[in-house]
Amino acid sequence: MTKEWTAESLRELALGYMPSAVLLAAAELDIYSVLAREPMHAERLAAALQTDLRATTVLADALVAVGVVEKFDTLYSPAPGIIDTLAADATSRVLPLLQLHATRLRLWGRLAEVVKTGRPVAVAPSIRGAEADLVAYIETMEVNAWQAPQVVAGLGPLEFEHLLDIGCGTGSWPIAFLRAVPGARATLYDLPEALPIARSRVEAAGLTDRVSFVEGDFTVDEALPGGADLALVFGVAHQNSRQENRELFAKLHTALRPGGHILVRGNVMSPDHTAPLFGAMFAILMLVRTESGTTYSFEETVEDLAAAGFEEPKLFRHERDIDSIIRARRRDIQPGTGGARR
Amino acid sequence: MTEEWTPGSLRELAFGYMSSGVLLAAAELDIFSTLDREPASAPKLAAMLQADLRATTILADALAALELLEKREDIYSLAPGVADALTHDGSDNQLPFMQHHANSLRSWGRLAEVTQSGRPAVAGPSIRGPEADHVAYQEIMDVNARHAPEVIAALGAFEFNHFLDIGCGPGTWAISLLHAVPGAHATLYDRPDVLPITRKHVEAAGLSSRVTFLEGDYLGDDPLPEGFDLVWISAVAHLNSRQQNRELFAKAHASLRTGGQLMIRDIVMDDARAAPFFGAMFSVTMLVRTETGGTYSFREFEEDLAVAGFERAELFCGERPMDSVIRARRMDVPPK
Repeated sequence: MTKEWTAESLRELALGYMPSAVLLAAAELDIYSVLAREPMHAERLAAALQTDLRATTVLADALVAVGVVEKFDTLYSPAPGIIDTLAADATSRVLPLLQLHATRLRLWGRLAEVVKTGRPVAVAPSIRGAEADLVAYIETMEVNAWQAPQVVAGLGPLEFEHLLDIGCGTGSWPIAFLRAVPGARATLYDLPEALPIARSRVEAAGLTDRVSFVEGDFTVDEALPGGADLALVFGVAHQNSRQENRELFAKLHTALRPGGHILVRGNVMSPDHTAPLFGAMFAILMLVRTESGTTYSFEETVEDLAAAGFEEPKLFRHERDIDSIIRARRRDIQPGTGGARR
Repeated sequence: MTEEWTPGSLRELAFGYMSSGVLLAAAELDIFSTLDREPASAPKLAAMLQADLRATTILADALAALELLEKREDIYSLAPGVADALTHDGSDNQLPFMQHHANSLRSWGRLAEVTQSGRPAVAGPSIRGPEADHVAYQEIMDVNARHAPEVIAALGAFEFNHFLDIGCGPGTWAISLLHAVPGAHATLYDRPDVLPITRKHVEAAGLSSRVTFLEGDYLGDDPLPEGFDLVWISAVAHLNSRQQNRELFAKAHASLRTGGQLMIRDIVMDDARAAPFFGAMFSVTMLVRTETGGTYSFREFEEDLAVAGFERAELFCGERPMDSVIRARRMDVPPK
């Protein structure tokens, strides 16, 4: 690294929140959808949004400065590509993501406080309300999983009869796995409040007869649903401490059939935790949002898998984002029991 | 902007707060000064900061990912250039700026709500406390005034015997003006909570004998003293509405001698109000942090100055957005 920081370059980095916050606030207000109807003056925009005129004018001008809105005379309209990008089809829909990050920005504003206390913080709901925030969160998870079929296809020929998805969320990933392996079945396990979404997605995918749903909380339940030969721990490990992951992996070891596999999807950090940048930023999000979560290196995850009785670890898919996947195989005899390996 | 937006470019713009928020939180915690004294492991750093270990580790790793810190064998140290800008003893210390923006980010996070209500979102104090925040805010003016001599030089030769600085802040601009015109005298006017900081700076500059301090609030009813040949209003106009500026300019007019000049240092926006870029962003800061503030175009300043009785307004564009200066003259007695 040869980069030399200057006051100027540090100020530029420091002010990075500004254009970002302008973009996100406009998403929270859904200005883009209103402007998509037709070009309009600040007065009409404020009336349509039921917002303050001075404030709306300042925000609209800032959006022009950022380049996401255009201004001709006094008429504002969306910049080229914005509406398509925000609203398009479900696979690239950015608006819910922006609305979600509007809330996350408020969390990040309290980072110094969190570093002092070590405790996560909660922030007030957006102006759209707590329910709309939850929808944006779910839609973002959905959008983030849009490449699930591709990722699953890229894993090569898969062989499993029964998969167990711990913390299945919206169900996009198990649906992709079931489609890749016709005839296989799945058990979807998540908190009671999360399962209805997964249920409706599975139904929409026409996979209801291949799926069973189990309500539960892996941090509390002694045993997880048994009989599966493939366990998915997708986007879950980063919410836990290493000890919590060891406990989860051990419960999965017990639940899996002999010879079964586990797949752990998430950011895979360098051994010193300083790369990739996205993973380091994701760790900050886990810091402000969870009691014990962070992102882990390959070596750490492998250690924790080994401690729980998994072997033959492999970095199955390596990306610079959250879609890296580590695979390991259930060792058939629990460590410490003195039994020989098969 | 002629490029078309794509999901990728829009995401990148959206995520801008992350790196920025990490840097600002680190400044709020004063991590850089701490590590400048001595490179440290995460446990040691957490102990020095009196912070949580897991949290300190995650933050320090994120700072290393941003290349603001270097990490070798679990020991964190400052990356090249960081000590000068982000430590108390740095040669180009930007900490007050960073600490102020850590607070500003909290207000900006509530921009949607502010746009609905039109009212500022006063974010809670930083972990450093409201007093430290106040000091940081005043010190930013200091940081920003490092270019004062060049800005003043660019205004050309000007003479005055006695000038009035309304809303003088820490007094750095007044000090530069006094250095530029030896023998001149200054009256520095600001609120009682600001003037102690000003006094300290003026004393340190060895200029106490050339300065009179006057406590007051220019938005109040008290008239300003009269007989000046220069009134200097620096980084104040953006705190006001146009109506408040008209009243302020009228007071400035009354305190000037005929032929005297008013100089306003501030951001001056293009007529379309979307440029300069920093000005458009600064307008948002004024929106989320003040009841009435904003940025104005030259045309708006010219109008408000004319209403207050000023003539011959002219604009000196600064190299930095906040360093533009508008000059206008009092030619006659004020209209009754």
